[in-house]
Amino acid sequence: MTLITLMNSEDVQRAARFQALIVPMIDDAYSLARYLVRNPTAAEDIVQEACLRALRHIDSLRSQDARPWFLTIVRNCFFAVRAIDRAAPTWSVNAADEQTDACDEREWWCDESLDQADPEAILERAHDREVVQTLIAGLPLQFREVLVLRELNDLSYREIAEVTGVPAGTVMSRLARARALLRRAWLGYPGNGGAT
Amino acid sequence: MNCEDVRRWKGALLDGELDAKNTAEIHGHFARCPPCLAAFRADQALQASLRRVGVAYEMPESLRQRIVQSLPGASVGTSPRRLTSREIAARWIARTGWVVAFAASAFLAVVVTERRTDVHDEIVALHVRSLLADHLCDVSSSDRHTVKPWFAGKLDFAPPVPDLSMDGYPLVGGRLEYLQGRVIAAVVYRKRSHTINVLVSPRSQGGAIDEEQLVVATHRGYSVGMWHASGLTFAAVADMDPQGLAAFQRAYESQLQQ
Repeated sequence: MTLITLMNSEDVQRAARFQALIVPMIDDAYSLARYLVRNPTAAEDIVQEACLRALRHIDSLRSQDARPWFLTIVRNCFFAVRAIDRAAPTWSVNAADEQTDACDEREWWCDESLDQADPEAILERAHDREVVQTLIAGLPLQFREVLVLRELNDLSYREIAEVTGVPAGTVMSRLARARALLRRAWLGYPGNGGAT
Repeated sequence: MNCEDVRRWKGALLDGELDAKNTAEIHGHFARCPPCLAAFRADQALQASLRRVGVAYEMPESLRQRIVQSLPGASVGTSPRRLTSREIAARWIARTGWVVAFAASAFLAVVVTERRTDVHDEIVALHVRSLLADHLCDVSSSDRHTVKPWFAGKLDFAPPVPDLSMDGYPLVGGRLEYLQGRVIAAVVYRKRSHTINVLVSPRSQGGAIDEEQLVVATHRGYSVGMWHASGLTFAAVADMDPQGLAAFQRAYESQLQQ
């Protein structure tokens, strides 16, 4: 049996806007989804769902806001997908997401001796991309997401505040904490040159 | 500004989110306070390291196909899809590990070379050093009427210093640099938190490129774009992707023609 879809000019216009505004952003959206959900299959589901929603609502988008608008949708889809998974687990979501400032003593990111500010030490630990992805993915969610939105998606503080729904001051302090935690992880990660 | 203020605001400085007044105050504090400066350098080192290695995940092609095919009006069947420049670049980088070049035309036609030259390595190293040392600018000003005359008498040519603030690239300043055995000009611009070094030298014979087109080499998150114009050779280097650098070069050249 063949399904025939009747297309009107509004659909075509919406598709054209989507192609022009959203499609160029889906790579970076996929990376954000990967870091949020920490699972490749789930990330694909999130991006597909986000694209569906974006297409449906694209008439309300002003082109200059496209990036924060779409990434907000991606983030919302992450939470939706996570809620569904909690009800009927398909892939495990790391319980570390529930941490706020509580630090597991065994995690290297609690080692404050690694706070010694040494730019050379950081540059010397030239980690592979997979390692760096793992270090970032290991951060608690509220720090991880602002770091990724800043360093990967290249959003401004105001845009990050828009996407995450927290004030810009909170964005700034979470980013500072994310960077401090990442620095400790960077220096403390075993292997690759040995401990300093 | 005290150390506690600096701890609070240095992230904003790093991300280009700080206004001119507070930027000046933080730099004033750094001049008096080596530990705070070292902490800021550590922040810079971490950010530079993230950019160098690249933190993005590669999206599966099948996902892109599914999304594009699901759009109303998407062609059914197996008509070949035109590759995006990013895909072309990814395939060449995967194959050669070296250099992909783009012509700065509306269609982003790709000219590919497999040769990564010493010049590219030297330019990237120069760029990274300029960010880490206390020496991004000898003359710090967002006013081209301050920066351009500063080079007079220090070089045997006059580097242009176009005003790109309307295109989103404010001027940061300038300095002398040393490249391939010559003293040259470095004119520094900023886009958000990305620093762009534009290295300007008189065009010499037997250079790396012959034609007056933009050739962009990209390696590990840094892009170097080189082109000739008006008897000068330009190299722009930044931790941006080739498209971003090509956009900068278009803005730069179009301002020069005004």
